[in-house]
Order: sequence, then C-alpha cells, then structure tokens
Amino acid sequence: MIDVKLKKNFGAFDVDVEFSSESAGITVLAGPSGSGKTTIINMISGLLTPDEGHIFIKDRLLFDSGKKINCPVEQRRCGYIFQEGRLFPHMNVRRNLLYGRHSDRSRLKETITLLGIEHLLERMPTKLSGGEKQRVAIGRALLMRPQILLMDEPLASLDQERREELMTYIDRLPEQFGIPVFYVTHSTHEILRLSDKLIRVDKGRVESSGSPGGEYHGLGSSDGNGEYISVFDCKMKAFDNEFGIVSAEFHGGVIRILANTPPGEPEIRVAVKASDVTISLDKPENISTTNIFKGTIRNLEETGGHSVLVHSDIGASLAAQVSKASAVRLGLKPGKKVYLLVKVVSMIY
Amino acid sequence: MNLTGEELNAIGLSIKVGIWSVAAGLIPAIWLAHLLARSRFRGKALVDALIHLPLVLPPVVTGYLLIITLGRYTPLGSLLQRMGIKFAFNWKGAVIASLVMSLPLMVRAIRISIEAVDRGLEDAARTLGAGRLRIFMTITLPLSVPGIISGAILGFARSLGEFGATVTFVANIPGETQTLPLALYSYTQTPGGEMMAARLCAVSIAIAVAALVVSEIFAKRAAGRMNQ
Repeated sequence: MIDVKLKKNFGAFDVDVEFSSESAGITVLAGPSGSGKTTIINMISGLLTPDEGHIFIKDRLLFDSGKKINCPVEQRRCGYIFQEGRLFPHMNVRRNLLYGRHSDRSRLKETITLLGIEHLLERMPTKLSGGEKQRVAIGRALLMRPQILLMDEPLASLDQERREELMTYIDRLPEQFGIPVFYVTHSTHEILRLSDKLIRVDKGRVESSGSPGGEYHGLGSSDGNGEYISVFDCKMKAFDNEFGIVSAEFHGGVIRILANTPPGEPEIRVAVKASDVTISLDKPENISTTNIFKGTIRNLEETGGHSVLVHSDIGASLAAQVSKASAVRLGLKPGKKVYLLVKVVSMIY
Repeated sequence: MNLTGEELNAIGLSIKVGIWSVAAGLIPAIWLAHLLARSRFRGKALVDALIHLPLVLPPVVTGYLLIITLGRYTPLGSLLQRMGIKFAFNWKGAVIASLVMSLPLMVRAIRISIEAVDRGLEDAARTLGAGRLRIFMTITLPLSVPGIISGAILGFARSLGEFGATVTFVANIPGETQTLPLALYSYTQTPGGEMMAARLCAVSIAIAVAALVVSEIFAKRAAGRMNQ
C-alpha cells in the first residue's frame, strides 16, 4: 500500500526514514512531539518536498529523487485530514464536501449517512462542533476518491467525549470505504485503539515497525512518559454493567479491564505499564487484584537506578519492573515460573 | 442648494474619474497584491518600492513623471496616440493620474487581507486536487473580499482627493480635467468664490461619507455570509 524512503534536512533537525506498510487498514505513525511525524506525512502528501528518497502509494510512484519524479500535490490523490479540519469558512458543508476536483456526487448521500452529517449540509463551518468539522473534513477527503487517507492528529483539538465518538468513525473507514488510512498521533490511547500496523519514530528516525502487539519503551508517546509498556490484543467476552468490568480473552487466558462503557468493537487492545506489574512466587489468595497470570521469565534486563525489567511469557509477552532488591530476594532468573499481578484499574485500553 | 453647471461638472467628473480609476486599477491591484503576498521572485523588493513610490513622492513629481513617460512627444505617448488613446489635457489623463496615486493604497489593503488568508486552507484545497487558478478564484479571492472592498473605497477616496499629480499632468481645464478639488482650489483663488468653495467642500464630505457607508454595508454582508 505504502512504501517510502524519505530524507529531509532542516539543519538543526533532520528526518531519515524508510518504512512500508501492506496493511489495508490503519497504519499508525507514532512518536513524541517534534519527532518528525508531521514532516513525514507532509512529504507523503506532497506539501513538503524531500531532499532524497521515494514514495510509492498503491504501487503508484509519486516521488523519486533519482528519477526526478515529483507528482504535484493536486494530482497525488491523497486525502489529507488536518489537525484543525481546515474547512473552507465561506462555503457551507455541501460545497465543502463537493470541493474536490474529482468529487463523486453520486456517493454524497452514502458518505454523509455513514459519517452522520446528513443534517448539516446547509450549515456554515463556524456553526459546527469540533467533531462535526472533522467528520465533514473526512467526508470531503473521501468524496474525491483518494488512494489513501492521511490523518495528522485529527483528534488533537477535540475533548475526550468527541474523541471517542470520532474514533469509532475512523476505525471503520478502511472497511466501509475500502481505503487504507495513514494516521499520525502521539496518544497511547489512539495507538491502542486504532492501529493495525504501528510505525514508531523518534528524532527523525524509525524506531520500530510492525504489528502493534509487544513491548515498548514508551509507546512513542508523551503521555506514556517513556515508560516501559506491554501491549497485547484480546477479544471481548463479557461486560459487567454493574461494575464496569470488561472480560476479554487473550493467548494467556482471561483479562479483566475497568471501563466506563462497553468497548465499541469486540477486538480490543490492552496495554500494561511495567511499573504496574507485581511479581509473586506463590499464587496469592484473598487479594484485591484479579488479574493473576501464570508465566515464565524469559530474561532480566537491568535498567539502571537499581531496577530490573523482568520479561515474561504469559501466552503473550508481559514485562514487570521491580527493584533489584526484590529480584535478588525472590531469586528471579530466566526459566523460573512466577505469577504476575495486574490490578484491574491499571489496565490501559 | 442650487449648484451651478460648473460645479456639477466638477462633481460629475470627479465621480467619473474615481470610478474609472478604481475599475481600471482593481484587477492589477489584486494581481500585484497576490504577487507580493504569495510569491517569491527576484526583484520583488523593487516591484514593491515602485508601487509604493507615489505614496512617498510629492504628487507634483508623480505628475511630472507621467508627463515625461506618457506625454504627446514621448515614445510611449506617441505610440498610444497613434492607437487613438490620448491622455494629455483630457479626463482620461486625470484617471491615469488618480490610478497611479491610488494604486499603492489599493495594493496595500488587498495585500494585507490576502496575507491574512490561512495558507493551510490553500494547502487543503491543493490536496483536494485544485490547481493554482482554482485555489485563487475559490479560496484566496473570496476570503480577501473585505480587503478588496476597503482597497476599492480607499482608492476611490484617494482619486476624489487627487490634486497635485492631476493638475501637473492634465492641468486645470473646466469641463475637461477640472475635478472637484481643482475647482475648489480655483474658487479659493477667485475673489468672492468663498461661498462656492464652501459648497464644494460640503459635497466632498457627503461623497466621502457615502462611500464609507457603502463599504461598511458590503463588508458586513461579506462577514455575514460566514456566520449563517
């Protein structure tokens, strides 16, 4: 779907990345502020010209510095959703939606229905809420029949409730409209919720690229504070309405998560901070913690500051951060069987 | 207030010259403003300085420069004359003088409002497949309308007040090039003309106020469209 190699030097800062994604779903480009995410997405859209490299989207060569190919922005067919929506303030919603040069009028009705904006057609953008503006912006981009949808932190200017609402729409885009999405964010929550493929960048370089499950030193995010976290996918089994607890199945058994509302999709992705995981040699009884996993230690990693990261296998990969003192006291070593405890309230999803 | 034929001539001529100079100058002013606001090219500072020159030069100097570039015996002037266009000592020359004097004001006002148009919107339009011309016509131009209106009104007002360049370039000929300020000046130089001068003064004020009111109405309408 997308295959790029990009170099751009700004003097004090430079971007040098190479990645590809075959995902027909949502590819998330994550990294802390100032890591070069927006620079990368702007180069893909054509708004910024790389010094060197190439850009393929759906096997269409859009840029190649060697062959001196540089397809102009207006011919790239990349739908771009900006942070602030960028609706044209002097046009009503209908005219905004149909602004694209190749706008497909015949799909207008279907598109606005799926995005829930059919009642807004005659409104001016100043009369829309933040979430409505972004949905119109998405509709506008979709109607020009793009090859890919580029989204640059589209939820950044919205409040929490609107974010959740818009995420459900974004999550369904690849399936409903048959279009791959390239999504830039620094929010752990959005990464967990939306990514089918995760590319992490920092300081203008790719840190990792692959399926989102696994362990990360910070999820490229500022709200993870660079903490070590483990991510795994699970399938929702039940939702306890009274206590707001989701039970979900994963390779290693059942996991319980505290959630105010039932998740919108059955597939959920959960993250656990290594510092929230407790290790016990015996199976604890009469304890408030209900997520108790049996696992095997894979290896121990000293992280400095007298603390140790214990990487374990519980069917999925889970890391626990304990003090060196505790690791010595419990005699933790690779191959040892242990119990890993995570409180229901510490589950991030 | 019974105005004499001579006064009516001067008022009519002034309005005619004002409208023509705005009508002829507006499109070049928009083009120049867009060029200065959005393009980078060699010699941009020079173009900018040339446009603004009439603002800082004594108007008489501008009028004199017009004589030596467009006068009957200059290469450009004689070429235009052979094409049937004559500026010397007629109202068209007064339009040229007013246009040159009001162009910097129009360019300035329009440029500021083009610069205020969010470039992000133009980028968004590009990603939607719009080329330069389409972006200009559908995004930049409509969003600069308030500046274009105030530029036009400023240009019109400047034309109405034009004196130095006009009197130097096309002289003060009643019925032909004697605009309102020129007529007013003549009356103040004539014994017993104070009354007529005062009346023309009142007329000037009325025209200027009317122009301001009209511009307010247009500007309100333009702003109102975005807040429906």
